[in-house]
Amino acid sequence: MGSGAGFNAYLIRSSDAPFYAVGTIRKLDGKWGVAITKSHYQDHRSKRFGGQGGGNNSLEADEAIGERGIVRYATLDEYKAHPGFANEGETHTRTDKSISLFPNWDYKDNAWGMSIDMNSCTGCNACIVSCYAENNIPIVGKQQVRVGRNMQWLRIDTYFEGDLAAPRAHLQPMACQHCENAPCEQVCPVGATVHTPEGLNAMVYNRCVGTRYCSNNCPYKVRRFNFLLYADYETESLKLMRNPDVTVRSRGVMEKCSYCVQRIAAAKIEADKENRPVGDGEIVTACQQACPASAITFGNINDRQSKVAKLQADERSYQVLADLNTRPRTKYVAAVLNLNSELERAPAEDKPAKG
Amino acid sequence: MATSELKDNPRIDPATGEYSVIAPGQTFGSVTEKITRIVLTPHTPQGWFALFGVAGCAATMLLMAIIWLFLKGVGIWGITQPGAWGFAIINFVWWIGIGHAGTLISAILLLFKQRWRNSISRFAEAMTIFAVVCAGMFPLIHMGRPWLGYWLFPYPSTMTVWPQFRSPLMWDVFAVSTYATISVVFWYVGMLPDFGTMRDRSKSKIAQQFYGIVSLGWRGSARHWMRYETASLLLAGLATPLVLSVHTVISFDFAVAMLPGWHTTIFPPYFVAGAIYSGFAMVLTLAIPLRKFYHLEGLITERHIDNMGKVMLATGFIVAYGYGMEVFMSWYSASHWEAFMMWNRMFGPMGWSYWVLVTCNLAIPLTTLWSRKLRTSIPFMFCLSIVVNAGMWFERFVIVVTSLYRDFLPSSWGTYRATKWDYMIYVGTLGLFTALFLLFVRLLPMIPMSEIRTMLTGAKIMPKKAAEAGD
Amino acid sequence: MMPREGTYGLLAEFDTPGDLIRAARQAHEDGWRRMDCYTPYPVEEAAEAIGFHRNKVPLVTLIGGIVGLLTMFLFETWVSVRAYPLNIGGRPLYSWPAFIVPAYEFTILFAGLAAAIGMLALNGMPALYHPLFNAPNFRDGATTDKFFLCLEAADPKFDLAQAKAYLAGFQPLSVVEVEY
Repeated sequence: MGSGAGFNAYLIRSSDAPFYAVGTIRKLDGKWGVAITKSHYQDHRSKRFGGQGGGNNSLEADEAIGERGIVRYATLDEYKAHPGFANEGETHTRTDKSISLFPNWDYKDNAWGMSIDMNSCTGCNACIVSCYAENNIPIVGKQQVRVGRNMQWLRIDTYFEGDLAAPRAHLQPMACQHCENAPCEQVCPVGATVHTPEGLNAMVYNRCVGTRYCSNNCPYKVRRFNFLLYADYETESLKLMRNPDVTVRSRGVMEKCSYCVQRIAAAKIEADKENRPVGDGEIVTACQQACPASAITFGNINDRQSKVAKLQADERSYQVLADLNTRPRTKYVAAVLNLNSELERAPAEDKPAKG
Repeated sequence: MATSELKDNPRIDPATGEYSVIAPGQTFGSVTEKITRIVLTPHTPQGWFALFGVAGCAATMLLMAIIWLFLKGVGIWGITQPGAWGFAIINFVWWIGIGHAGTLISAILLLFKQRWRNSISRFAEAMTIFAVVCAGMFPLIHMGRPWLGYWLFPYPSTMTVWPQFRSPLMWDVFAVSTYATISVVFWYVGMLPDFGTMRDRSKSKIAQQFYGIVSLGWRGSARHWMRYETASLLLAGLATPLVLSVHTVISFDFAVAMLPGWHTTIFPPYFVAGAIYSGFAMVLTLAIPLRKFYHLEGLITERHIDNMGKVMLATGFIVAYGYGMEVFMSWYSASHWEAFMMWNRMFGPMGWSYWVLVTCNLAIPLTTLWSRKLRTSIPFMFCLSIVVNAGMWFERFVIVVTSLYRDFLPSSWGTYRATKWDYMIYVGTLGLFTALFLLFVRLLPMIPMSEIRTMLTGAKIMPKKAAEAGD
Repeated sequence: MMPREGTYGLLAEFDTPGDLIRAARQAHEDGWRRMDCYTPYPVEEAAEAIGFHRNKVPLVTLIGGIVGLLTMFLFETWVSVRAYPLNIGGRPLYSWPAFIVPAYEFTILFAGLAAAIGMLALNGMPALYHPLFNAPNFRDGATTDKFFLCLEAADPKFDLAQAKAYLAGFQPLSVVEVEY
């Protein structure tokens, strides 16, 4: 899969001139396909249908930051005026556990949860790389990525707000939210995805027959399906690379972030051996471990003193798509931007192309 | 209706101005002879062979595509994240929907004592069974690991695990298997008397033995007829809620999910009406060539075509109401999810499919089916039936694909493009259906003779004086 | 099964349903009980004429339906609550609204199968052999366009010569003696 991909930069980079090259640039005919993992459309809708009317904005950002309340942020002044901005207002709904047609399930002991700080996330992708390494996630190649079948369990959703000539980027790492009212679990006909007593949405690879209904019903679309045999079972050196604590998935099976259940289990075994509860900070997920900005925090939300419980109780913390009542265990700390008013937004010099 | 038409056309009953249900002048003997001759003749028409050859090629293509699918995986199709369901589910719903008209004609019209349904009920029911055969393979082949498909059935496994009954796909398993079973049972029971006729009239040893066995010794005893009639009525009465429930359960595949565009309570009636709409279109697509080729114009008359057109008009309006409600609710609900979904469905990158849908399903049929002249025009109705079938396929395409590819999180928006394997499998199922239907036409009596006999003038019980006066 | 020898009965052939019904009614009035009518399509009056009223098929169907409903619903409940209870998306273990759907389908399945199989069983089918098939005119007409009345030898009133004359009185197309 790796052979034949990319271009040899050493054709223009020599040891005499390792950092610059002199030459001419010529426009070629035809098109070159670029593999991206996000959709980028311009918002051509009129104001009546929710657009800006101009066509210079990103459709995805207009939707995510506007009515959907997926990305919530405030400037410093706005925060000072409304500290509870992340959970106030019609588009900033929060989960109400008292509203339910049936009794809430009780989670008494450990209740695993995660907090992701959107202030700190720089979009460096280290979390994604570490997740790949930890969980034996397969590489699918450029052609499959172009169809949309990349296997990232954790992705960084990027929304470009404002005029596309000088947008503001919002970064949101998105992985399985381990919803208490998981919509994926209800629709699996064979029961391959179930809820553990500690609140993890468990994916049982052995039981999955691959109907993909769970992926359709997941509003966060964090479930990844092995459409073809992506895992390489043949190459010997890859066998050394893999994490022996995690199954290597074959074709036809659904997979997703597991809150590094292998690390949770390892910590619980150690705690059990020593006859004590699992302490805060003992379980570090792969993404948490790799993040240079410590944006990801993981732990037991039933333990009020744990870091994650305190972060989740913060007034800036919110759940994505809370109005769907999925009751996710991952909360996001909304960003507060401290902008320098003297730095103006760059004027639009080039209009983005139509598309 | 112009009086000149009344005078000229012997098939129009002058008293009512309607086409007669069966052409006059037929007797028990002539009806029996006409229908059994198609099956019992040793000479298969060349046209049958030609069409069977084409259908067989398409069915072979289906087989090859499925083998490649099992070898490589569902990735050979166009499905992806977020559009993880594509042609397979669209075709599944389309075929099951088509099947529903057969049951409606056999069962519901029987309960409503609509005698015109007698000539078409048998092959409509056959259409149902073959449509369910074509539909039933899709839930199996669309799985990532189809060799484990038996896990969807509740059986005591060594791991003591059971299926999960809250899932609509589980409900599908029960609904479709019940539908298939009851359809076959109803169809077979309906054919018992005719198998008796075939047994008594066939000349070759093989035919006699075959029909002898399947007729189970039917001899027309009055007592047997009474129990038979009761069983038929009961089966019809059971098949009616079955038809309504099966497509409701199929609609639950979508309605129980959270996606905007899927999660809506209009789906059960909308799907059932749509199923009947497309099913009647398929019955027309089959009936018109059949009556032409086998000279059955006396038994399948313009009245049938007319009535089927009326049913399509009615169900087409229910479908139109469903579409209208979706649009209305996307505004009235003040739900941003719904509003965006509707805008995207109409004006997004896949918006073209919505307008094809509206044209084929609403614009063309609902404006033309009002006209009696067009409803009884055989060429027009044939073309219209194809248009409605295509339109109903697009309806499922719009529902499945446009709701999936742009849902809640804009970061996960994608697209959908079908591959050649998707098309091969779809065309292949059309070939399989045609091949099975041709086999049915050749080997089994396609019009229920015993029911037609009840409609002939010879079946009227005359008082003794009148009978003697006639002698 | 009783040993079968000799005459099964006498078979009268009619051209119209009206003739058959008149003959059957008369025979029933005259005390004949072991008899049957054979028609190529259901003639309700013929069944009434020979005194056939009760029909057990609806009861069989009802029992089948109830068995199907209870079986499926209780099975689903047992699986979800007792056999292998799982937390599925926080939903209650006893999710009776969801369980109704497969139970409804099974009600219809069992009821339909009971109706069909019950009807066949009550009719004594499959019965690939029957003495009447020995009569050539029966095979030519019963399933096409003729109407038959058969007076069986098992009836106490049966006497070959007398019954023949009795049937001839109805002016049938033919009267045939049927052997076992």
